[in-house]
Amino acid sequence: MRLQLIAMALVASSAPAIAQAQASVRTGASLYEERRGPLNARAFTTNLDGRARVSERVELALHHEADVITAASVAVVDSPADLDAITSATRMNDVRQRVGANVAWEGDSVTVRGGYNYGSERDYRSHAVQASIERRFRDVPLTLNVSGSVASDRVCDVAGNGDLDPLDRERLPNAEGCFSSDERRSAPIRSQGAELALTYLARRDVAMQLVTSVQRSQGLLSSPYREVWLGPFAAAEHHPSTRVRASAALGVRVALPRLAGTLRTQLRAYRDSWGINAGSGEVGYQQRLPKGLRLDLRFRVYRQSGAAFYSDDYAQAPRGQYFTGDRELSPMRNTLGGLALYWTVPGIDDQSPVDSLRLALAFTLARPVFSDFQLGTGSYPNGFWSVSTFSMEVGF
Amino acid sequence: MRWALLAGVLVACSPPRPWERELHADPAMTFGDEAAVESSVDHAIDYREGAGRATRTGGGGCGCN
Repeated sequence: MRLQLIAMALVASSAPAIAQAQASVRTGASLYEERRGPLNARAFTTNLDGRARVSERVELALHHEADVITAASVAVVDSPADLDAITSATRMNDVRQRVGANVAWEGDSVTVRGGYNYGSERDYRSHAVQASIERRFRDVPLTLNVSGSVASDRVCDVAGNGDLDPLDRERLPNAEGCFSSDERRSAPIRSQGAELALTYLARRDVAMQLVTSVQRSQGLLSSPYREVWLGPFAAAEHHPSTRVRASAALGVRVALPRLAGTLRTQLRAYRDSWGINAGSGEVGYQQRLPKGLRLDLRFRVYRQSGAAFYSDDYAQAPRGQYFTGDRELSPMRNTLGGLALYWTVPGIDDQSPVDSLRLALAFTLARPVFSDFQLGTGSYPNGFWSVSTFSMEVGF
Repeated sequence: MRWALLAGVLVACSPPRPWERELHADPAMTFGDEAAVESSVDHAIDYREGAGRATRTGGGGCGCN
């Protein structure tokens, strides 16, 4: 909360420095809930964004986000010694903070952006810088955006694990002592990402966007909290130390002026060096309503293959030198539906210091299915997860 | 057949001139316009599916739980 007040004060103090500065503040909260019986998880997130135009061409933005998370973690996946891994799962609590600053320079046909983000939680630290350049072409209705990001993170782990053979490594029991005790080490994770986005106005009522992206991560990419049963013994989850991910997405938006609505669709394909192939399809519709209201509906389906080294039982069917207990690396599918209501408050008085006020309320429900993931001989509860969001944006 | 389909799509495209873009002024026609709502759902998707956004770097934690 204190960081949010500081961010708001910085934005407010920079705004009057330049005559006729334009500024906006957006704040909101969201609640993520995972209903999976004893493996329930919950994350409450608040965010505050402020942006101010400090000159005709330069805009500054500040961002703060905080998560309060409670979740359950299965200590040893597939352990026969723990027949009910679900009810004996360890509950964990954490608070994640993320602050960032961005600056944008807007020319006649080019916009350049740069920014920095810092993230912190009990077992994780992150520094990331991003930069992008956007080119708007005059002769064709085309916008090209190229962006890149570099991150240097550290994740907490048991101190001795770095020198041990993977089969001898132990899991981290909890986040106590992380970044402070000699019994813990902080393992590095480095990431580099790049994205190319082309937005094209194909017709007076059709907009299209093609986005391709690639990311490379190196370091401790497995969960430090999880062990996997390998037959005679268990060892800390062991993933490859490098992962290269690539994706391509095509989105289309069609204006339907007679219905006062907009139809949208998106197809996305994904592939990574761990052997996961995935695809998703989404369709959405937004309807304009009287008095500045908009109703938005969304439906999305997703399907992925498992990682090449994924096995539901490493004691019976090992997959080379790597082993994982991560359900998101198993073959899975997910179905998601969402409903959102946006309200741009009409009739704001010209004399008011507030230029615009926009509110949003949204609810999203997802049903993941892990068809090939079990805990020992017990089935895994697929459950549901949902995200409820409220947001308010004020323009000055 | 594939090339014929692509050619058909390109012929059907008739890029609007600047004075024909009033429908594109609608926020619903702008990609990423509803960032406040989309980012919270995208954040959940990143951690609950194996194919999260490939450009996510830093600040998200390990999502270990």
